[in-house]
Amino acid sequence: MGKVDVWQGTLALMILKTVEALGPLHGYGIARRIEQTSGKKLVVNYGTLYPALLKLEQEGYLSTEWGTSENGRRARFYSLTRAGRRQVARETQQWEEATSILARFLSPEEPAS
Amino acid sequence: MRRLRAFLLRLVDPFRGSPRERVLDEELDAHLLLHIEENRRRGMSDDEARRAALMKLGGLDQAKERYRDRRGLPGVDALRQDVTQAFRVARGNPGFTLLAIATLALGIGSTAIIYSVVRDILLDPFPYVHQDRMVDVVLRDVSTTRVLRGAFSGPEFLDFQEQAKSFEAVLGTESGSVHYVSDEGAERMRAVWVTPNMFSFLGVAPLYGRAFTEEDGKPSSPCVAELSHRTWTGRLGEDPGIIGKTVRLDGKPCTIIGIMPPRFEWHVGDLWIPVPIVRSTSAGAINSRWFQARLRPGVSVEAAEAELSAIARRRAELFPAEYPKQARIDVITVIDWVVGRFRSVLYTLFAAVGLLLFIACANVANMLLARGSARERELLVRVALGAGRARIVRQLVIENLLLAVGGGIAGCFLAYAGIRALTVWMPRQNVPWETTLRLDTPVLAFASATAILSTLIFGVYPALLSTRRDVAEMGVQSRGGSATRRQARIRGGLVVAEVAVSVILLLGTGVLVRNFVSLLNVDLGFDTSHTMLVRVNFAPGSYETVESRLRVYREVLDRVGRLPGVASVTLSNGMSAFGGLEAAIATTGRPADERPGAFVKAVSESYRATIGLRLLAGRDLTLADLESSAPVALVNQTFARRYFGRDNPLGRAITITTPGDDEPALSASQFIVVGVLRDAINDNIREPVAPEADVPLSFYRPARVGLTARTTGDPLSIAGAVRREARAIDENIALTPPVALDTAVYEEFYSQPGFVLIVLGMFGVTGLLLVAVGIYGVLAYTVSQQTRDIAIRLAIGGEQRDILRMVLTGGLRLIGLGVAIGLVASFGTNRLLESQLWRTSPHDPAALTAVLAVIGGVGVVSCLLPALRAMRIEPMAALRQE
Repeated sequence: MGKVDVWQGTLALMILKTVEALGPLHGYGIARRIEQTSGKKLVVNYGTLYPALLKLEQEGYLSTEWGTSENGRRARFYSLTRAGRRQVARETQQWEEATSILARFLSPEEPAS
Repeated sequence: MRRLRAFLLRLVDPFRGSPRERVLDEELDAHLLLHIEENRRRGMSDDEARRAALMKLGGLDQAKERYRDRRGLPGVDALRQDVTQAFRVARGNPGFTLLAIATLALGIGSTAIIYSVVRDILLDPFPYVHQDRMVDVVLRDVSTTRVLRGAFSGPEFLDFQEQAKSFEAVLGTESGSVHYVSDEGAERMRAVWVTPNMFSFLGVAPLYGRAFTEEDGKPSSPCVAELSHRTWTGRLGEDPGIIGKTVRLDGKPCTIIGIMPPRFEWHVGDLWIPVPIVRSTSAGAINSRWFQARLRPGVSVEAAEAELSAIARRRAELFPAEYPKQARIDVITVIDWVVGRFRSVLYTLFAAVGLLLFIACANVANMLLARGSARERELLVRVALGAGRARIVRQLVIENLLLAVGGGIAGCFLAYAGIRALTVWMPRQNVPWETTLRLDTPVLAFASATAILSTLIFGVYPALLSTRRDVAEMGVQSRGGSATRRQARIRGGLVVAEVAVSVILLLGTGVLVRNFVSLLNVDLGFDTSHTMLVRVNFAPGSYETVESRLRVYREVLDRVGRLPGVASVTLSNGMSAFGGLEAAIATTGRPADERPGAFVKAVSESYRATIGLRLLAGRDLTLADLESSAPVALVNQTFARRYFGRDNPLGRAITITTPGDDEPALSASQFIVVGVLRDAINDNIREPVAPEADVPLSFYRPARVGLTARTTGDPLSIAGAVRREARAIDENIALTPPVALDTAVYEEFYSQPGFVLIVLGMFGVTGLLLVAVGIYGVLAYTVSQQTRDIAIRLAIGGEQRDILRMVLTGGLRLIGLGVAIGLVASFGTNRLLESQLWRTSPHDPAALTAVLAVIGGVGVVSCLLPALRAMRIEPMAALRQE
């Protein structure tokens, strides 16, 4: 199975969810984490990641500050704002609904109740 | 909301100027290093780790570009680039930029200034309500167009007011001078008696205090008065406690109840006093009034005139003496009445400024057309390289907008400065006293919009046309295409139009210069320098006998004459150049004039010497003549010629009749001529000298004289001392504010032509400068376009002289055509100036010659520079450049 690029729209939620789970994290960490979580099936393109981070920052879901990475390098750390936390909850719920609806179409063996 | 927040952040991003780019670099660097390190941890070599990380990162610059697009709004960013680029273009050619901005500024600024002047003087001079419907009614002599009567008697006035249906309100005004005495001393004031409805009629409320009411106007009510702001702040020292004070006006008590606002100058009064009009004919002088009325909406001046004429005809049957045969009722708007002759001047200026705005726009258009074609190739290259047309248009718009906005801002500054300057120069003659010059913002906006629009049209459109052409065409056809030829024709046409307009402006200016010079050359016949004038007024009822008057006159003359700085002093009832008593003259063997045709002045013995008049024959008046009231007279040359022809006037008797109902101003009528004076201007510098006779002051009945003092230094420096001396003699003597004779003469006779000349002259010179720039620009451009042709001609043996001639002829042909058109047009336009001219033809040949010389000279010089450059083209260098 080949690797697929992350498609737009879902990346934002993945980023938010990652930061929610791991706390303040730099861009590289976020990318690695998303790749790992996807079981290496996803490739995060940096040309996509950083604009997406910037967009979330501009929308006020993420805040940034300079910090030191685990190996002592200066890096920009992203953390979730309160609006970001609410957004994660909202988006998660929407995705779950959407996927559950889709799942009904995709698994026809399950009888419609 | 979140979207909006993001949008705003992106919108302002380009202007935040924070080290955003460095942050991005650092962040991506950190990312790369983290990646490399991790690769190394997995056992890769340094090189491998780096290469793998870079590969994964996949195009650092692309990533950065996408990041940047997200950071700001791509449009805004590009716009900023365009603006930066436009500034760079502007700085790259500072001469062009400054010239274009200066040209636009001149066009915009002067249009706004002149329109403002026209509006403030002609269209909206008064602070009164409904001034467009406000009219004056006068009785005019149709044969001479002179006003026979401005004021109407009480019964006449009331007949008009009661019977006429054309008016919604009527105001009766009369003015005169009163002796004003307060605790601070005596002043002579101009009193204006009005009907008590003045406030509602004019729609102006007092600044301080209260308005007068119908009640205040009743005959039984105590006298009240409103004070003018000008007088209050000036002569009365802005005393805040003056409201409620009771002063004496001609000896009768009157209470000041209010102060009018600054621009309120109804009949240029110092005081306004309510007095109603009554039918009784014995009510005194105040009962005759100017009839001022407000037309009902929709009623025309002609309709009102017809109605009043009918009423007047009925009265004329009862009182034929009131209405001479040739008299007609004339209804005239108040603005016409006050502005009169100045109107045509202002319209002329208005036309002139329109022309100047045209020249300015044409010039900028020309410059932009030239630049547009020069940049044609640059633009085509950009199109070929893939620049979108929208992007190119946007950049051109921004570049030209930069010029236009620069010009607009500079124009606004110019307009504000110009209005301030003109306020100083504005004449008081023929301009309503109420006028204040204010900059008219709508017109400033209009002129700016015109200039900006023309800049954009001429800056963008031609360039746009050229980009529409097929890019492939570009390689083949670089020069001399049909589009270029068409543009050359437009540019040539603009130059011709500019030259024509400039000729019109310059000819107008030239004729006005000649006119002003002929006014300046008028020999006044007396010396205006170092001379102070002040009117001396005595309290009514005092100095009623000749002896007491002579005594007080003598004391004034002695005391002022002894002041340091006073060389000579005289008292008289009038002043040269400003008239005197109008009188009819009879001599033995010659009947009296039908109407008063001579001036009579009653003067003290030092009059002739103080004014600097020359005695041609006979003797001067003496102190003895005054003290003994000797019936002797000095006459001027015109008098001698008119009444005695070639006979010797000395020793001849003359009879002087002065108008005046019961008591003539002179106490005698028979005089003997004892001396002849050289002619001096005695009425108006534009009028021929009138016959004049000067008699001893002792014959003059009214206790009101003018004091003229010749000083050794600044004439106004003695004003305070003169006032103190007058007060010391009698504290009830009131002096009017003193003036210097030269200032008074200038203001009366020269300030209006001077004003017109300065303004039109500024236009003429500015226009000429702009035209010179325009001609130069077009020719210089033509030469640069023909560089290759010229180089080839030179290379194959053409003479430099021929090249020079070729360029010069090209330019001079345009100029010649423009001059011809301008001359033809100016025959019409200079007529507009006719009312301003005095002894100067509107087609004055000297002015014509001068203008042709100037425009020819300027034209040749502006052609010569590009022509010389063309001549010096190095054939080889020029061809290599191609």
